[in-house]
Amino acid sequence: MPVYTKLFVTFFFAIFLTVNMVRRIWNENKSFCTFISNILLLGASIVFYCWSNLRFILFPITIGVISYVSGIVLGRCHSYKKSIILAFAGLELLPLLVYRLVGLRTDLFDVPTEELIIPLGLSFFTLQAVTYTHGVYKGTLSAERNPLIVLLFVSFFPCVSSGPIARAEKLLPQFGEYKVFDYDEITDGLRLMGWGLLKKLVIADNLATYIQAVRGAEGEKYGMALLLAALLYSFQLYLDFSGYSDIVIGCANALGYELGKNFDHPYLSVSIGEFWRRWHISLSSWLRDFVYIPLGGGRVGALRKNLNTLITFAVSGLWHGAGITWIVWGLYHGICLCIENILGIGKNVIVSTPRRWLRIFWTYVIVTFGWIIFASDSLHEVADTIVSFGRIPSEMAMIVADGIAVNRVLMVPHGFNLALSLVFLVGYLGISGTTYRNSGLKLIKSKKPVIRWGGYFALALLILFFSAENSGEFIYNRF
Amino acid sequence: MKKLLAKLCLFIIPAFIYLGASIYIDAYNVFHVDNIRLTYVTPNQNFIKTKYVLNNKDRFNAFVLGSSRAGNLPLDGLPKMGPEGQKLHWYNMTYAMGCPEENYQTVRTFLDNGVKIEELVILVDEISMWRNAFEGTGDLIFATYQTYEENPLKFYYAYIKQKPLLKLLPAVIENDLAEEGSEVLLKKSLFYEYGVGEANTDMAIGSPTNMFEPERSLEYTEASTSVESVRRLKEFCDENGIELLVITSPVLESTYRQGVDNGYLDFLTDLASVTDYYCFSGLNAYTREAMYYFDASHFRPYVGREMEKVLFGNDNERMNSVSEACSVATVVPFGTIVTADNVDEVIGGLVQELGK
Repeated sequence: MPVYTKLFVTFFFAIFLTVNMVRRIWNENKSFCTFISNILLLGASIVFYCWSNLRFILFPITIGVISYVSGIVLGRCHSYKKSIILAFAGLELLPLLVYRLVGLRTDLFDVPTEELIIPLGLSFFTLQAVTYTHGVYKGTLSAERNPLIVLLFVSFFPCVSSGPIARAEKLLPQFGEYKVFDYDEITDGLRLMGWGLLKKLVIADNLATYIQAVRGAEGEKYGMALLLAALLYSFQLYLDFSGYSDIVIGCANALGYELGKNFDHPYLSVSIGEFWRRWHISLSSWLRDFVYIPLGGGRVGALRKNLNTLITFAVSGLWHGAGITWIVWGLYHGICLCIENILGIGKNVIVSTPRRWLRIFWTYVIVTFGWIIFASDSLHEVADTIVSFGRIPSEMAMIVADGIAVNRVLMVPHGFNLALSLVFLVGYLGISGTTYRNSGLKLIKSKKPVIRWGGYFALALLILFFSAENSGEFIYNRF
Repeated sequence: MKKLLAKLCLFIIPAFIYLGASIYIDAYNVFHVDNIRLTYVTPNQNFIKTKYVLNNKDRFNAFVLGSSRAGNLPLDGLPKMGPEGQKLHWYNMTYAMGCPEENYQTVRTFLDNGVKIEELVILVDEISMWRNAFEGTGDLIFATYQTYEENPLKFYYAYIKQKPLLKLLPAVIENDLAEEGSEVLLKKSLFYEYGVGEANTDMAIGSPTNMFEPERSLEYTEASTSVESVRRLKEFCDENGIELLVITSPVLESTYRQGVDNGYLDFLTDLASVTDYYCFSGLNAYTREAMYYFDASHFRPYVGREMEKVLFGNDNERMNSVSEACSVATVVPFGTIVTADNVDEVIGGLVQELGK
C-alpha cells in the first residue's frame, strides 16, 4: 500500500476518523481512550504491513517482542548490562545483517541466488527498535510494561515502510499520552501530506520518466543526456524521499504524533558535513549516535576520528544496499567528509553571499557525483557514465554546427514534456528557498484565506492534472 | 471535527474541475459519441461506432467489419440493394486492430439490441490471425463496447482516471467552434454517414516508391480465436438470415511475406474449413507496388474499388478487375473464391507465387 496511492489516503482517513471518534466517545476515560486508540493503531499497522506481504508480518512482530523483552530485562538487570544490550541489539539487527551479507556475497562473488525479497521496512524498523533498547539501557527511557505500546512503536504504520527512523525517547511516550482533537495539528499534518504528494507525484515521478528513459535506452547514450539525467536524479531522489517523508510525517501529525523532521533543505548545504545534517536526518543521526559515537566519535585523535567517519559511512552504504556500489558511495562521502575535517571546511560561518552560493553549488556537485555511484548497478556503469561526459563538447558542436535537435541529444522521450517538468522543479526550488529560514506551514497560515485556499486548490489541481502517468515505487522502499 | 470535515468537502471543487476537464477534453471521445472531435488521438472507434449505431437503430442495415484496413472499401462500390431487393444502408464499422472475435460480438450486440442487419462484409488479414479480442479497459483505445455493457461505471471511470491531454485542448475547441462547411465538419459528417474519417473517394494512386518496411506481425498459434470467431459469425448469420461475405485483404508484399513466415497461409487454410471466402491476398499487381498503399498495411481506395468490382460488379467488371490485378508473379487470381474443396490448391498457388 504505497503512501502516494488513493488506497492509502482512503485507509488513512478511515483510521483518522475512527481514532478521532474513539477519542471523542471515550474522552472522559482518558486511559481507556488511549488504550483503545493504541489498539486501533496497532491493528491498522498490522493491516498496513500485511497488505504489502502477509508472510513477512512476523518480522516486525518478532522484533517488537524482542524489543519489549530487552526493555524488561534491561530494566531489571543491574549487571552485565553492556553484554545484554549488545545481545538484544544484535538480535534486533540480525535479520537486516543476514539480508545484507547474503546480498553482498551475491554481488561480490557473482553467486547466483534466487532474488531475495526483503521484508518491507526491515532497514527501518530494526534500527528503530534498537533506539528503544538503547534508551532503556542508558536510562533515558523507562522499560515499557505494555507490550502493545512497544509493538506499536516498532510497527507504527506511517513510518514502518521507509522511516523516518523515530527515536524511542521521542515517539514511544506519545503512545502513552492522552490525545485530544487538535484542529491546528491535524490541518498542519494534512497540509504536509498534500505538499509531499505534490513533490512525489508531480515533480519526482515526472523527472523519473525522463531519467529512466535515458538510463534504460539501448546503445551508446549522449553525454549531455546522461549529465542532465544525473543532475535531475539528485532532485528526483530528494523529492521522492522527502515527499514520502512529508506524507508520513503529516499523516502521523494528523493522528496526533510528532515524528520530527527528516530533511531540511539539504541542497542548500555549504559542506558535506552540513549536507549530512540535513539529509535523511533520522538515519544520519542514528548512525552518529549508534555507530560513530560508540567508535569514539570525534573525541579521539584526528586519524582515528577519520577512520570512525569512514567506518560509519561504509555502514551507511551497506545499510542502503548489499552491493559494491553502495559501499563505494558510502566511502566516497566518508572520504569527502574526512577531507573537509582535515581542511577545516564547514567550521567557519560564511558571511559573503557569493562565496556561500559557490560553496552550495560545489557541495551540490560533490553530492550529485556521489548519486551517480548510488544509482549505478556496477562500477563499470559509473565509469561509462563519467567517460560519456567527455563527449559533451562534441555533442554541443553537433547541435550548433549540424543543427541536430536538442531534444534528440538530450534523449527526451517522445511525448514527454521536459520543459514542463523543469518549470515545476524551478517553481519548487523557488518555494523551497523561501522556507529555508521560515517554516513553510507558518508562512502559508499567515496568508489570507483567499490566498491560502487558492494555494490548496492549485496544489490539488497540480496533483490531479500533472502527476506522472506511472507513479514509480518510492526509491527508499527498496532499502 | 465538523469544521474540518466541512473544509475538506471544499476539495470537491478541484475534483469537479478535473472531472469537467476530463469529460470535455475526452481524448478518446467516449463521452462524445454524437459529437466526435477529430484530433490526432485515435478515438475508441469500437465503442463510439457501436453506440452510435445502437442510438440510430433504423439508420443502417449493412456493415463493413474488420481492422482499419477495410476503411478503404469505398461506399460507392458497395451494393445499394440486397439480394431480396431491400435497400442497403452501409456503415463502416472498422477500427484500428479490429479482429473477428470483436466483430462477432459487435454483430451479436446489434441484433440483441434491435438493429436489423441485411448484409455484412468482413475483411480478414494477417492481423486477424494473431489478434484476439481485447479484454478489459487497460488499453483505452481498444476497450470494446461489450466491456462498457458489463460495467458502464468502471468503463467510464477508466477514462476519467486518465489525465486529460491538455495539449489537445486547442484541437478540441477548434472542433467545437468549427463553422458550417469547414473541413472539420465535413469529416465529422462523413464519420456519421459511413464511419470513416477521410473521404475514400479519392481514386488516385501514389507515385512509384520503394517497398514499405513490413507492418509488425505476430505468429498464428493455437491461442488464436479468429477462425472460431468467423465460424460462429457465419453460423449466427445463417441463423438470422444475414448475407455474409468474408474476404481476405490484399496485403502489401513486405507485410505479406512476414505474415506468411508467421503462419498466414495456415490461417487461410483453417479459415476455409469454416467458411468460403474471397481471397485478395497474394502477390498481384497491387500488392507488389507500394504506390497502391498509404503505408505497409492500408491499401488505397483505388484497390478497394477494384475489390468491390470483383465482389459486386457484373461479369465484365469482374473480369477486367481480375485481369488488371494480374502480374508476372500471380498464380491465384485476384479475389478467387476459396472453399474447403479448393483451399489446398489455392494455398499451393500462393506458395508458388512466393517462390517466383
